[in-house]
Formats: sequence, C-alpha cells, structure tokens
Amino acid sequence: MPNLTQKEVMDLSDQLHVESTMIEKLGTYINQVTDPQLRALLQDVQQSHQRSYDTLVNQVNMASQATGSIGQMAASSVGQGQAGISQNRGGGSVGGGYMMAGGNMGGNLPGPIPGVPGIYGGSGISSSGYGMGSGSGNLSGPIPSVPGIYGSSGISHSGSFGMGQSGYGMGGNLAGPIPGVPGIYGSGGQTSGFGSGSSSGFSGMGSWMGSGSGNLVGPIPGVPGMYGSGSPGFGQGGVSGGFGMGQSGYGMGSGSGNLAGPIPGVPGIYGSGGQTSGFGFSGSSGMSGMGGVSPGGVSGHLAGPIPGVPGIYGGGGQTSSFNQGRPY
Amino acid sequence: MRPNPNSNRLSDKAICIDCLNNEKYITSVLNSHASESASPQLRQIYIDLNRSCHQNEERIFSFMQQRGWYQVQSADPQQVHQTRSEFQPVGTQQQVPGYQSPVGYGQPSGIPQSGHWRH
Repeated sequence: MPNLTQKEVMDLSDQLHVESTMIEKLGTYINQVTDPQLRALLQDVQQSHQRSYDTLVNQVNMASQATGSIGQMAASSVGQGQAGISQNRGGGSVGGGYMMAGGNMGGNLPGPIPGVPGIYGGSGISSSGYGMGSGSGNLSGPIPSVPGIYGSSGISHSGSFGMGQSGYGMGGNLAGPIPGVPGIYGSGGQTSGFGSGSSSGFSGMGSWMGSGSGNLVGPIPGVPGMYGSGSPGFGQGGVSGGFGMGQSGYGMGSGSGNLAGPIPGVPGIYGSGGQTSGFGFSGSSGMSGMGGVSPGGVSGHLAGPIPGVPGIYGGGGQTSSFNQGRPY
Repeated sequence: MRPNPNSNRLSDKAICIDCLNNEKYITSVLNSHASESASPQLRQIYIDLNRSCHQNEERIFSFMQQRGWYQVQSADPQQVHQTRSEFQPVGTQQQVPGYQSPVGYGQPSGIPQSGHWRH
C-alpha cells in the first residue's frame, strides 16, 4: 500500500479503537444475555468486528512497512472481556515501545437539536492506548420534543502501561431528561479501563479508575422511561508488576447507575442495573509489594422512591471487588 | 419499558438496542471513512467493512422484530400513492428546455418519515 495520508492514518486509528471497543463490549454482553439465540448472534457480531479489526491492523502494518519508520501494531489487542491495547513495538525507532494514541473526547455532543429525533451520543467511544480515554458519549442533555436514545452507548476505556501512567474513563453521563421527552437515558453508559505498570529495576505503578457511567441527575415528571438502568462500570484491574521498589495497583469502579431520585408520577426503572466491579492487583519482586486496593462501590444507589411511583428502585446495584497483594 | 427481573444487569432487549445503535453508528463512520480515503484500496476495505456492519445490523434488527422489540409501522397507502403521483412524470433523467415542474415538485409533501427511527 502506498503512503497513507494523515487523514487516512487518523481514520484507521479511530476505527481500530471503535472495533476493539466493540469486541470488548460484545464480550461483556455475551456473558450477560440470557437468551442463547441472542448469545450466538452476539458472538457472530463480535467475530465480525474482530475480522474488521484484523483487516485494519493489516493495513496499518502494510503502511508502516512501506514507510519503514513505524513499528508493528500488535493485532492481539482484544480478547473477551479485556480492554484493547494499541501497542507499537519499536520497529525503526529507538526506544519506541509505545504507540501513544490518545482518543479522548470521542462522541461528545453538546446536545441534540430541537425537532431532530435520533440517536445522540449513542456510540460515543473513546479509547486510548496510553494515558487517558475520557469523556465519551457525554451529552449535555436532550431537548424537549426530541425523543431518542441519549448517551446510550457511551464507552470509554483506556489502557496505560509503563511507569506511573493511569487511565480512566467516564462514559455515558447525561445531565438529565427533559419533560415531554420519553426515551432511554444513560442506559448503556459503560466505562472500562485498565492500567498496568511494569518496569525493570524500578517501580511501576498502574492505576485504574472507571467511574461515573450512566449517571443521571434525575427523571422529570411526565417522562416515563428507563433511567440510568443499565450502566455497568467495571475495570479489569490496576495491574502492576515489576522488579524493584514496591509496586502498587489499584482499581476503582464507582458510581454507576446512580440516580438522584425518581419523581412522582414517573413510573419506570431507576438505577436498576448499576453494576460496579473492579479489582486491583499488585505484585513485586525484590522488595515489598504494597498490595492492590480496589474499592468498588456506590452502585445502584438511589435517594429513595417516591410515594405513588411504581417501579424498581436500585434493584440491581451490585458491587464486587477484588484485591490482592503479593509481597515478595 | 418493562422491568427486568434480573435487574442487576442490562436486559436482553437493552443490549439489543445498544448493539443496534452501535452498528448504525459504525456504518455511518465507515461510510465517512470510505468517502474520505484517497487510497482506492483503503476505500474498498471500508466499503467491505460497512457491508459487514450492515449485515450485523440486519441480523440484530430481525432478532428484535422476532421478539417484538422493534415494531415498525406500514406506510399509509395514501401517502404512497401521493408520492407516486408526484414523481411519476419524470421520464428521463434530464429536463428538457421549457420543462415545467409539476406543482409541488422539489418541495414534496407527505414523504414518509425515515424508517430509521420508529420508537
């Protein structure tokens, strides 16, 4: 393939992030669905995105070979339930171990337009291989008389590695529904992220925080719908490993599915599927390992149901956490 | 929206909605990438990926329809007839000199809403 244009490289990078996130997300869904037929369908769709990812990676590799200046992008970024890493192993560049792909602020939208029904922020995806992936799928708020799905697929994930990098993600936040606007709000806000740190001879620290997915200020009187119902926030772990001086990893997944409170006269599902999980892992050789800390909390909280408002409130808030420390 | 009894996670329907929305989004992005590719090879790749995405979309949509999760409404026959009558006179692709557009041509009314959004 001849040299790519700058725009083409950016598009390829963006699309790779999209595909890797889809693969990851579908992996999560495959484990969640109850219908075997749907599970099989999602597996097929996931494989389709995996093929797309591999195809695009090949294009990048071919282009990099043509230029001779860029290393090879690893095609092994995605597995079920794992966050994607874009990794560039330093082909022609000295010390180029990382590909810095900051894909922040993807899918943001200041707000839908009056009289324009549609999907807003529906697939905001932000990911980065280094540093921060933040603020995807955010939406300041729907507009009166604009039915739709708002902030439904906000996904943000990030991975970081090396010394002292951290990644965090926040997705699917939504300021609040508007009177007269039925719909699904913040339903699929999903945040995942991981950070890993590894080093030889010194310390590596990885941190991870996935927070604030699917939050919703509150439903509005006269607006039936599903509010903040299905927002999982999870993270596979602050992982830290290396030799030397005491590594620590922590992961925190918090604040999914929170909802200030239902409103009288607004039947619906409130904060029902807030799910938070996270784990931290820490290991070290040669010195002490501090231990991973992983608070996973504040899921599915709800200020309280309101008299005369039937529904499910905070029904499925789930928190799990795991931490492990391995002093040498 | 019916409550999900296993409400600590997304319902199958919510997952379907989200997946369908994602596929729709990705097809539009791929379309844009294809349009803006200078390389014919890369353009073709995006077109192929787009087709694959549309197939995913179709399968998810069909599944949702089977479950009664995505209802579509048939077009009003009167609207179909009206649209047909508005566009019937076009016999060739080019206007001939002195051609007079029928009343309302270019400002069609009664066009059915896009089938994309029927919630």
